[in-house]
This record gives sequence, structure tokens and C-alpha cells, in this order.
Amino acid sequence: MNRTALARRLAGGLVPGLLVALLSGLASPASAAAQYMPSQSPVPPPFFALQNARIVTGAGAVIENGTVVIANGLIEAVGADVDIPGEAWLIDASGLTVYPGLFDGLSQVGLEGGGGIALGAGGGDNPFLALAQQANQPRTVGPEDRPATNSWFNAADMLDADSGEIETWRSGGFTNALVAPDDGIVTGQGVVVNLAGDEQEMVVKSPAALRVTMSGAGGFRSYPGSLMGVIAYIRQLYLDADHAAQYEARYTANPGGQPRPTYDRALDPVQDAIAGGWPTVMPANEVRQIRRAIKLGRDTGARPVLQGAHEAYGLADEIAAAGVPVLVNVDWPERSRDADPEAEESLSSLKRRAYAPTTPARLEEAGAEWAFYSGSANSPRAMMDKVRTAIENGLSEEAALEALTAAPARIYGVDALLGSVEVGKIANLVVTDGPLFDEDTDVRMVFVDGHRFEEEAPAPRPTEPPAVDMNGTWLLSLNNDSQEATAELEVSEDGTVSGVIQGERGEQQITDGWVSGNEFSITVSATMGPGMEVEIVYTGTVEGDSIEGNASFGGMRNMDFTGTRPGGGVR
Amino acid sequence: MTRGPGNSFGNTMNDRIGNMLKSIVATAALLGTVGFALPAQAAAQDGGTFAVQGATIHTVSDGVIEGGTIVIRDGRIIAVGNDVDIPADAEIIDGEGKHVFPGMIDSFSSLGLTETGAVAVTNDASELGRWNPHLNAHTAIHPASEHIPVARANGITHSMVAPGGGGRGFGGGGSGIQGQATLVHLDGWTVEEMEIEKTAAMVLGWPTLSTGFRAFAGFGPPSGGRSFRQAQERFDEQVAEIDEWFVAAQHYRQAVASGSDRVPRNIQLEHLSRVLDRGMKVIVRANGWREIESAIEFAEKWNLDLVIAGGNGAREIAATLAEKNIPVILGPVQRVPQGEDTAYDDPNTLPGALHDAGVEIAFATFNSSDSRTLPYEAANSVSWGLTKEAALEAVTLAPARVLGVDDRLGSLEVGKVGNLIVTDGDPLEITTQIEWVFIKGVPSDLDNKHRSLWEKYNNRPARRVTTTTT
Amino acid sequence: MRHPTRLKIGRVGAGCLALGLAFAIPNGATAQEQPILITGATILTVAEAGRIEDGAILFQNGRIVAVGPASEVEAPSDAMIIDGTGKYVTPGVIDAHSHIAADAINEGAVSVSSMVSIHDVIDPTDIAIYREVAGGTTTSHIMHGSANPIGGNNVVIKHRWGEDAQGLIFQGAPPTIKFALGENPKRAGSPTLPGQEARYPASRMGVMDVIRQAFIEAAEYKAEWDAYRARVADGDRDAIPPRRNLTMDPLVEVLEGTRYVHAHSYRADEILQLMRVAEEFGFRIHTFQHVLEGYRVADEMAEHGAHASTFSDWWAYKMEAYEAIPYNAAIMTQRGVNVSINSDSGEEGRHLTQEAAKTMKWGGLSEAEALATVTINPAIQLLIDERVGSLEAGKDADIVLWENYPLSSYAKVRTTFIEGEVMFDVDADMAMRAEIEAQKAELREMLGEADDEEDPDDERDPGRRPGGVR
Repeated sequence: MNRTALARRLAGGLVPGLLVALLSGLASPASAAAQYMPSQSPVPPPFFALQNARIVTGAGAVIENGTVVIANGLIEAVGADVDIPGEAWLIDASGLTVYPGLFDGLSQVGLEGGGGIALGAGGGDNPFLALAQQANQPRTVGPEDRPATNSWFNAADMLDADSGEIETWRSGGFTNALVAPDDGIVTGQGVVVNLAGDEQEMVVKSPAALRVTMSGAGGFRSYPGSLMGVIAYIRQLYLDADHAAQYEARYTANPGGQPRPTYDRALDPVQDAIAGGWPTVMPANEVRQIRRAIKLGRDTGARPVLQGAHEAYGLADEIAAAGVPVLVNVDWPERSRDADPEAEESLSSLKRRAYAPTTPARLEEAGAEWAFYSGSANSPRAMMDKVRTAIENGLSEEAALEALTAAPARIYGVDALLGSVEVGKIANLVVTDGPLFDEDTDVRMVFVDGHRFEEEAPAPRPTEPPAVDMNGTWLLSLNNDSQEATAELEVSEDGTVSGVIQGERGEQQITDGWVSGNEFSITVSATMGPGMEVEIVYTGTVEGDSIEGNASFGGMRNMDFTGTRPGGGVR
Repeated sequence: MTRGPGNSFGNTMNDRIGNMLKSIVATAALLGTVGFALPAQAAAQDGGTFAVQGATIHTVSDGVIEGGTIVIRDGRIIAVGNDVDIPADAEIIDGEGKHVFPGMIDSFSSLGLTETGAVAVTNDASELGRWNPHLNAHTAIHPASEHIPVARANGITHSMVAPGGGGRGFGGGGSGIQGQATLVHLDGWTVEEMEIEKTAAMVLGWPTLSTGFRAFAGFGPPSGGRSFRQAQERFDEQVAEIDEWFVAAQHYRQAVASGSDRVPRNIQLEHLSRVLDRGMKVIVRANGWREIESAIEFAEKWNLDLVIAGGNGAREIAATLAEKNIPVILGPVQRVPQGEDTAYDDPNTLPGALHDAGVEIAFATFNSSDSRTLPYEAANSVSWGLTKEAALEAVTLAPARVLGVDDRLGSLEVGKVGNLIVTDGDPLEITTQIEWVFIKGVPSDLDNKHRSLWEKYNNRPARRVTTTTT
Repeated sequence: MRHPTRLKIGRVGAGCLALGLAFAIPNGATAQEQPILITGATILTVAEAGRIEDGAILFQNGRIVAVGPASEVEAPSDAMIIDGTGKYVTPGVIDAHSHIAADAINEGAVSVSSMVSIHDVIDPTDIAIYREVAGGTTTSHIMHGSANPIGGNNVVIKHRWGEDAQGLIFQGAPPTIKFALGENPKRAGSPTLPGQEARYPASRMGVMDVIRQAFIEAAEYKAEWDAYRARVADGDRDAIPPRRNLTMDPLVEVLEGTRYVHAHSYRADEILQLMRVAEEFGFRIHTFQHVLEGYRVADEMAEHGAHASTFSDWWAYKMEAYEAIPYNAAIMTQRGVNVSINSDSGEEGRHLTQEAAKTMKWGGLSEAEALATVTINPAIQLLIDERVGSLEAGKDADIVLWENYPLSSYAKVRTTFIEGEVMFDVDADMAMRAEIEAQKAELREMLGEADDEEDPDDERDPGRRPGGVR
């Protein structure tokens, strides 16, 4: 752990026990890796040629049968007819399509601890946890205290290259993300990263953005405690930064006889952001929030990038005219799965659900600058699912691709490096076995910085017919009875399983399932929290009226399970 | 400045008339006119004899009598009509241009239990614990509460005072048995003098199916609630808890009835068992139609004499309420409709809809300081479907029926208690002045904290502008 | 399968619908072009013309063209004519103290929160905007809360339901700021939690001290800026502007007399003290809000030039409201203070004329005086009386057409116009309910969640919900 991250955690006020652990972590030598050590994995020469590929360059026409040459991390040549250097390793990409690597417009992937403890907003169902977190925050009583202003935090200092999420996203075709800290009113500096390499190699541009949230959440205890307090504070912060810049310029020119400027670590990055025109990511989901953010940008000199934008469908022209870029959260609002059936959903809520996925199409029509970001969609598969929803709601596939590649690259000022398959750009590519947005398409290869990551072709479903009868109602118990579920299974003649699993999180429809021999696999999609969809895959073996196996929760967690069929088989 | 009630020891009739005179002069000052003659002399003991002569008499039970006379003697109405013999010893109030109505009943209030909403130490409306069938509001009524004369001066002559209702800042709270409500006149030196029915009803708070979700303004998703499944489980558990209390009460009653000397006295069950087999009214506070339906099922299971209090969602189950003769004491009409798509006038149309469906309705303030606004709750339904007559009945005779005292109260009929008001117009109308209030057949003091303060400060000499040294 | 949107996105406001269905006036932001004449109604002008029986009012392009006896007001040939026979017309009601339509009300951790403004957090989607229009309210002063001796900046809105935040703002209304005295700013009701620092002040002494200190600082800040401006005026090119301090800026405006103070207050002593503190710094307390004991220092308020915005009859909900009396408005009015009756709530804001009527009952204000407390008087308090608050030629066509007498507990609005546009109409409202249901059905269809058949287990009464949902 580096010093900045530690400082941030200290400022965040962790419990003493954790502090000790963190301090001892600091004691371990971080720079001991300077000595020679033979590589423990093969490092091939960095030259590749993808031949016979369909190339969607993202810049101009599609090349139906062409070649991409990669050398030293960059794209060296693209075209239907290009010279292939001798050092290049030839890859036959017949039947495959090459796209620019996908770019998540806002994410916490690869950040230690997800980028921070959300101020006050955390705690989920437990209000006391949120209160306890608040109580540990220093009390601030005015703008001069720089409440929750972590502008000097830089996501590049918070990276953890070993994070499993990086691989998850990369194998789904994502080669880049804007990652930003998550803690505070000004959470800190966002960074464009590659989703491969070590912490240094990952960074493409730092800083690439400033991130602002609207969560004060100090209540009556700490300033600012209300939305209007947060807005007022942001105004004052920008005024102070501007004033400090003027004064520092004066002082530097003539330091004698003037009081020295006050050191204020929170102001410098804001000054840089104003001077450098950094994009400033601000939450803006509903109409009034969008208008507020645009106005706040105008008033302060910040260059806002709207984050969320579920109600931007009605404001696309206004947004385009204002020239404000938009990050659209693909995590479309959904009806609460366990709401009171008597509580009639309001018209405004129905509208939001019906129209939010039309936002991308409207932004496309209006010619606004916009990109997708993952929001709470916590896997590339879930994200692409939601992108498909936008396409079903009128978004063109070309615009969808742009919003996942070139558009975020432009928003963050890295379009010379990323976002298309063009000579000179960073060799970040995704290679698929079909059209990117088809549900059945799989990612077969990903290049990041010219490094190749091969993805296994999905295991075909076993062809052996079922040797057991799985029909009926099963009682499953996971990990020593800690959780229970009921599975009602129906097996068709070809071994395809359908039905429902009823567990703690309500009823889940089986989306995929098969029985082959005495082995089975059943997939359901479950909601683990607000907007958190997780795919659960149960695999195992059947023996008469009992089963056993393993349940994988989104590839993140595994639990063993056993099950019985009290009613016996149906047949 | 506050004076005691008029019909009592220690307060001579001359004082009383003096007070009345003062009230009348005050009223007259307001109106700029003195509209009627004052009683010539004080009455004798036992409450005396009074007649309001030549007034428009709104009997509620039997129409309106123009130019009628009503006579009260020894606390009771002894004559009402156009052709009435006025006893020679009666004090006569000239009713020319005046209107006589039954005194109004606030069917659910915390009068005398709550003095200053935000000051916890002045609140006795709610007790700790969820199972208090043995507690009675009667025990804690403060007869000298400033709220009582304030309500009375606007024509509220009696009220059911109930625990758990609370004033501002005191919610009705969660489910459980909140205790017994008491029906009182709003006049008396002690609660015993105020008493009509000491144990008028047992009040239960019904569990709710609310998921409690609330949306945070500004940013972020709704939070702080529970899933509907959890809400339903909790609801079922809490109904089952109430049921256990009733099982125990029934068991207790049987054990005691057996004559056994081994049954330890249990005061909670002793009181609760009185509601069984319709022995006492049971007022269940419930708003949603499913909660009401659940309360009805429960009442049928235990053969309870059920009254619903609250009833915001009663529209959805009106036919059932009508068919089963279950009355509803309605919560405030002046409330904000729930849910953003709900009609703006939903609270206003509810009373008329229930009445049209045949449900017996009564209005209440569920409050103490606002008890005087009871008539406006009723009036606010009138332009939305409830007739004026029904609205008036819902603050007079209907609550008397709901509370089972219509043999004595609620209308101007011979033999009933002399609770009446004399006004210069419709008492449901804001600008109407209440000129006389009779409680138990005796003129009540209309002075109160507000009127006293008004008199005092209205008479403050104009400020002499002084210059302070600077 | 989802379908691209077909439904009109954007506002489904009463205005929109009413315009479409009930009246042939062009939709959208353009002002009302077709002249409208309401004739045959009783017009309560709250102006010199007073009460006009059989009157008429003509308005066009959002402004009143003429008001007078029906025989004297001529309608252009293209005018839409509304028969007002048996109905009443009043100016749009103005609420001098409201907390609707905002995503935040209190910035509570600091004792001076003048850096915040309701401007930044207007919530144009709050249904209360519409529900209050349905009660005749057309303009509201949306105020910061009372957590701090010096609170945040407020905003005056018109209830143009369907407009965005910017469209709601009453353009040209001078800026105001909230102050607060007594129990709320000293946080009497919020004990400090363990481990939490107490917030100064905790007494009425400290409240005044905080205000005084803030103005000492503001005066210094102002002097710093004045000095800077003088240097610049003298041609000093090297001068650096002092640091802008958003907390101080509004206070400087108060000192300069361009921002108006609205001070939440209860007790007479704190009312007096604040006037003296203001006088010390050479500014005026423009309006005391709530000011429940204003009746005790009415002369002093009149002398200072302070206005008063109070409640009709709320009392005893907290200690400092225990001596509140419903005669407050009348006493202050009679002693020369400009008095308004405010709501402070999205509920009360729906029937402010009824609250105004209480000043006739308690203290004997005339009809004109009573109606003024919710029209021209609050307009004066908000310095918008040139535009709104009475029915006079040239003023904004903010007009309420009532089914019946507005100063009554039976009052019901027929149609509310804001700048000539229909913002509420009873018939349009009914049509809108159906429209909303239709839109919901269409959206559910779009989402593939259309209702299946009637649920056979649904035990609710058939024909329920006659009131419908809005």
C-alpha cells in the first residue's frame, strides 16, 4: 500500500484495529523487487498479426477481410492488404471480428476497496452502520474545513493490479475504464486505465477527470448536511481555488512583503481542473439533477460530465446544445422485486422505467457526446445485456459501439490513444466470434497494450443424454444449512432443464440448464441488492433422490450444496 | 384568568352569569352587536331550568324547527318544539336569529392527556409497552388542561379521550393494546364530574403491512424499508401476538368463572376479557383496507363490537363495513393524499363515499390542541359529496351511536342530556360564533386561555414611544 | 420486446391537460393569447374596488385587463366567456411560508447557513405544487428551515405545475433570507448524542450573539470589499479582490437593504431583541414568520416596520407555542402591522382561505382584511405586490374562480389561473385522472407488465375507489 492510499484511509477514519494492520502493511518493504529474477511466465516477442479478420475499426468502413499488425503495444498496420513483418506471430482470425477494446466510462474496477467507503451513503439496510461511519468522520463546520474534499486522491495511487475484477472485465472485452475514487463530495482524480499490466503499466492518463458527488450526508452533525449545502460548498470551493490561484500568481511574481499563500492540498487539484479543463464527473440522473449539474458547471467553471442520465431522454437536445458530455448508466431502473403488490407504481416511476433505456437513442439522435458506464452492472455480461436493451429501444449498433469505445476516449481526452483500430493507437482490441452485440457472441481474444489474452471457447454442453431423472421438487441446502432453497425442475427430452429456484432472494427463473449422464448445470439470475444482478450457476451430480455440487455466485463466491427430493421422482 | 366550570361548588351562580356576561360582551364586541337578552337571574340548584326561545332548532334526530323553543331542566332536555310551555322559573335566552344544535363530539382525542406536544413531560397519552389493556385514559385526564376550555368554546361538548393517540409529535404508535378510552363531558372540576362512560372502549393498534420505504429526495435510491414479504411476515406475527392475548383473556375469564381460588389475579387479562362477547367496544386503529379486513376477521373470530378508527383506505372495503355494520371514526380530512398519483381531493371525497355506501362515520381530530377544528374536518367533506346534514350528524348523533350513548347524547330530543350550543349560524362554518354552550344542562364558561390573553393584550395601552439613551 | 416511446414525454400537468381539454388555449410556454372573461361572479378584488357583486374580470396575455361590474366590462369578440353566476373570484392565494417543492430544507450543522439557497434545490416534480393550486394557491415563498439563527436563502415560486425549476421561479421577486429564533436554532429538541459536539448556541442569549457576530463579520467583509473597489476606482491595477465568501455575501446584501430578512420567531422577547439587533446594524427585520406572540409586541413591530406572517390557530405543539392565540393576526392587524397567514406545510397550503377566515372569527377582521392576509399582505411581504395579490388592471392574471364562498370551511376551487393559464380545473382534473390511468396502462404494456385478468382472490368490494386516482 502506498502512502497516499494510507493517508486517505486514515482520513476516512478507520477503526483502530484496522489501523494497526494498515501500519504493519506499510512496514513491509515495497521496493524490494528491484533485484534480477528470471521471469516466471513466458514473455513472447510483442509482435502479432491478426489475419483474415473482419475488422470493425470504429473509424470509417468495416474491413471485411483484413489484417491488424501489432508491434510493441501499438497498432502498426490495419487494412485489407498490409505487409506482415516477419517477427509477427500469425493468428488466423478467420470467422472472428476485431473491435476496438471496450471502455467503461466510469468504474471502480481494480481500485483497492472499491475506491473508498462511501460517505454516509453506505450501510445498506443498516442505518446504524451509516451513522457509525458518520460519527467517525471529522466534524466540519464550514467550507474552510474542506469537508469530504479528497481532490488530491488519485485513482492511480489506489490501483491493485491483482484484483480479480480486472480479469473478469477484460475477458468480457473491456480493455479500458475510467476509474475514480468513490469517497467524498470531491472524491478525487479519475484515471484512464488499461485493464492489464501492473499498477504502473495500467495507467494511460492521470489525471483524466475530477469526480464530484452530491452526497454530503452530514445531516445536522457536519457541514454540509444537505444537498443545497453541498452545492453551496462546491461553489465556494471553486471560488477559493480561483482566488488562491490569483494570489499565488501575485505572490510568486513578488514574494517580498506579502503573506505567503496558505497550503491547502484540496485546492491545488481544483485549480488544475479549472485551468486544464478537466472533465468533472457529476451525478445527474433526473431532469432536475441534470439541469442543476449543467448550471453548476456554468457557475463554477467546472466542465461537467453528467453521470447517470436516466431521465436524459427528454432533454437530449438541451444537453447537446449545452455541449455537456454524458455518461449513461446502463443499469436501467427496475421494479422492486418485492414491493407491496397493492402499492401502485406511480406514473413517474413507470415512465422512468419505460423510457430510461431510450436515453441512448435520444442522445444519438440529438448528436450529444455520450458514453456508457457500468453503474451497478457488475459484470461485462450484465453490462452488455443492458446495452442490448438500449439497442432494442432504438439505439443503433454503431452508436452503441462508439459509446463503448471512441466516445469515452474523447470525453477523457485519450482519443489519440484509444477508441478505434487505427495505426498508432494503443493495441487494445477485442476479438469476438460474432457481432459484438449478439447475445450468443463470445469473446475469444483480448489485446491490452499489445499483450494477448486468450479466452477459452465456452465449454460445449455435454452431448450424452440424461442418465437420471431430475424432474420434481428439490430441497437444497447450501453450506451446512446456512441457506435453503427449493428448486422445481422440469427436464425436457433433450436434457434441457427449466423451472424456478425459490430461495432467500425470492423466486428465480432458470435461464439455462442441462442434465447429461448424471451431471447437471443450472443457471439462474438473482438480484443481490439494488441493481445488483448476479448469475448463480449450480453444477453437480445426481444420485437417485439426492444431489450434491457447487454453486458459483457470479464467479466471485462458491458454496457447496446438497439436496434431496422428498417427493421422489415424477415419473 | 381561567375560570372553573359553572355548575359546581364554590362558584356562585352570580359569578357564572358574570362570566357569561363577559363572554357575551366579548362576543358582541366582535360582532358589533348585542343580539339577545341576558338571563334575568340565576337558576336554582340541580342545574336549573333554561329555555332558548324562538330559535332555529337543529334536532339532528328529527329535522329543523324554525322559531322553536327548547327547554332544559335539571340537566335534561324536557321540551323541544314550536309549541312549548316554558316553566315559570326558567331563565330565558332569546333565540331570535339564533340556532341551536346538539353539542359536538370529538370521537377520538387526547384532550387532557397532552398539554404541550414537544414537551415530553406534559404528555400522558402513551405508555411504555405494547400490552396495556388495563390502562385507562380516565386515570390521566387533567381537568385543568388549557385545551379543554379552548375546545369547548368552539362547541365541542364531549369527547372520547383515548390513549395512544397523542398530540403533535406523538404518533399513535405500533401495534398492540393501547388501553381504554373514556367518554367525557368537557366540563367538570374533576374527571368524575366529566365522566360519561369511564370505559367507553378498548383501543387496539393494528399491525400494518407498510413496507416503510421512503425515497430520499435528491439523489440515491429509496431506502430504509423492508421487503413486502418481510412486512407480511411481521404483520402475521403481530396479529398472532394479539390473538394470543385474546386466547389468554378467554382462558382467564373461564378460570375465574370456575370459582377456583387458585387463579392468580391478572389485571391485564381481567380488563381485556371484558371485551369478549361484545362486552365493550373495541376500537381498532387501522388505515389500509387489508389491515381493516384483517381486523374485521379478527373481530368476527372473537365476537367483538368493532369500531375502526383511521380508515384512510376504508373506501376500498366500504360495502363490507356497511354490511357488517362496522362504523368508522375517520382520521383528518385535512391531510395530504398518500402517493403522488392519488387524487388531490381523495381525503375530501372519502367521508361522502363511505356514507353513500351505508357506512356509519364519525369525525375526530385524534389531537388535543386541534380539537376545536373538529367541525371543519366535517365541513371539508361537504363540497365533495357529503351532505351538510350528514356532516353535522357525523359530529353529533353518529358518534353517539358509534360509542353507544345515543340514548343520552347526540341530538336534541326530550330526555337527552342537555348538551347543546347556541350559535349565530352553522357551527361547521368557520366564521360562526358559538354564543352559548350548555353541558349537562348548565351554561358552560366560554372563557379560555386564548380569550383571556386576547382581552389582556387587546387592552394593552398603545406603546408610548420612548427614546433610549445612546 | 420493448417498443420505442410513443407516449408524449414531458409534462403531464394539469395545466397542460386543462388547456388541451377544457379550453382552447395554445399549449406551451407562450402566454395566454385568447382573452378570457369571467362574468356574473362576486369578485373580491382585495383592492380599492372592494367586493363587486355581479362583477366581471377580463384578462389576456397573462395580465388583468379590466375588473368591474359586469355591465361595465366589455369582452372582445374573440374572448372566451366563463359564466361566473353564483361563483366567487379572488386573487390567487399567496403563501408567505412554505417548504414544498424543494429537495432540501435545512443545512443544519452550522449556526449560520447563509451560503445555501433553496434556488439550488427546487423540486418541480413535487405534487404539492399542483395540490396547492387546487386550493387556490398560486405563489409561495419556499423557505429554508429554522435550524440556524441565520439560515439560508429562500425563493419565491409561482405554482406553474409542469414547468422546470427555472420556470417556477417568480422572476423579479427580491431576494430573501431566513433567520430563526428560539427553540429550533438552539436545538432544544435535538439533544446531542454521545461523542457529538454540541452546536452553539444553546440559549436565546446565544442565538442573538450568533446573529450579532455574523453581522460584525459581514460589516468587516463589506469594508474589505469597499476598500478594494476604492483602490480599483483609483486606478490600482495590482489590487487583488478579497476572497469571495458565500456565507457573507447575503449578509452584506441585508446590510445594504437589498435582501430581506424573514425571521422565524415565537416569543415576544425574542421578537423584540432581534429588532434591536437589526437596528444596531442599520437594517430592518422585514417580516417575522410564525411570530405567535406578536400580539404582545405589535406596537413595537409596527414601529420597527416589521411585517408578520403567522398561523391561524395552531398552538401548544411546543413550549414556545403555548401562549399562541388565534386572535394574533387580528391584534397585530388592528395595531398597524401588515399580517399574512401562512401554511408552513403542504397540507395547510391547500386551504389557506379557510385559515384566513379564522381571523374573522377570532378577533373580528372584516372579509377584506381576512382575505388580504392570504393575498395582498403576503405580496407586500414578498415585495411582489406590484404584480400580484389583488385584482386590478395590469396585474398578473393569477385568479381563482371558486364554486362557493372562499372564506368558508365549504370553500372549493373551480379553476385556478396563473398568468391567464389554467393550472387547475375541476373538470380537467377528472379528465386527467383518466388520462393518467391510460398512460399507466400503456406504459405497463410497453414494459410487458400489463395487468392480466382480475385477480380472483381479490376480496375487495367491486366498484371500489369511486374517487379514482389522480
